[in-house]
Amino acid sequence: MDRRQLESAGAGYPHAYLQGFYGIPFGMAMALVGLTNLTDPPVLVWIGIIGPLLTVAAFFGVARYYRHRFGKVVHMRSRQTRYLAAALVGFAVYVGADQLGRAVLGRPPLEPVSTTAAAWAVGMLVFYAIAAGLRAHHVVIWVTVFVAALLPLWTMGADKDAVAYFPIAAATVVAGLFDHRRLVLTFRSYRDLDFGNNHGDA
Amino acid sequence: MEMRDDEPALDRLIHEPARLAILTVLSSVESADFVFLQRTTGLTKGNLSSHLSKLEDGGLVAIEKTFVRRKPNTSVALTAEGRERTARHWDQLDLMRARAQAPADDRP
Repeated sequence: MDRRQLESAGAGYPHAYLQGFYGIPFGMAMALVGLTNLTDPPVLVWIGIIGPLLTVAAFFGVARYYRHRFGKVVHMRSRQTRYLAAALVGFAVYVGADQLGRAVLGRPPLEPVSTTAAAWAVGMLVFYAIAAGLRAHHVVIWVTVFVAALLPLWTMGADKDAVAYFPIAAATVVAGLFDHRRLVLTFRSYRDLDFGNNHGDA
Repeated sequence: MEMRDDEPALDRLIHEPARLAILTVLSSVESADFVFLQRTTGLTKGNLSSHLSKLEDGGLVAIEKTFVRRKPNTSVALTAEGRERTARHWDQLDLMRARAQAPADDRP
């Protein structure tokens, strides 16, 4: 029996990390932010009512799925603090990197690059690194977003910042799907531990 | 056979593999529900329930049964005593393992 593996079963089951399907509602929220910030946004009923309702419904659907499928854990205060710190530091890095980029490239940036997408990618990498450790798929997905943000593709004028949220939304969903796969594989590995299904008469 | 004072002593209630697994998972969290413990230990409902009853009788875990949206929900947490005894048990196992792996000449 491996003590570390069993301990990681509890400690490594964070609420907002490996439960990757949460990436779906968060990705939807990011896409809504992008749509809202377009100079000519879609009909208000979509971004103001139906979109948020679908996002909230997806969030509760995912929460229900994980509760039924994998159960529920209340983490130690130290671990809860770590996730909160990861989110705050990640967001601070995003804001800081975005502002730094705009200070160098102009407001709005004169170059056809997206400081929003680049800064968000860096913030996400910092978040994952602090929250539970970077995995290969996080690096691949968010470095891809970072590189794409710095390529001279962003020639949408006033909509440049708004459009940046669409690749961010897609990356959030894809990273979440990989996180979920990792969660499933992790739980599958517990089956091999085989503690025997005797009735505990010992 | 006489036991030396520094001989590792194993806690019989904890030493059963399934119970040690349950306690070790619980030692890394504040509390966990029945479904999570089932998923991580691979025990059937009946066996997990039986082991949890023994652990509760021994004062190692506290079990709280509630209803969430009319469905029963069982939340399990280690007691202070359970946390201390589980940690001590693992220390004893580590000590035994270290002694078993040590060259014969180094053994006390």
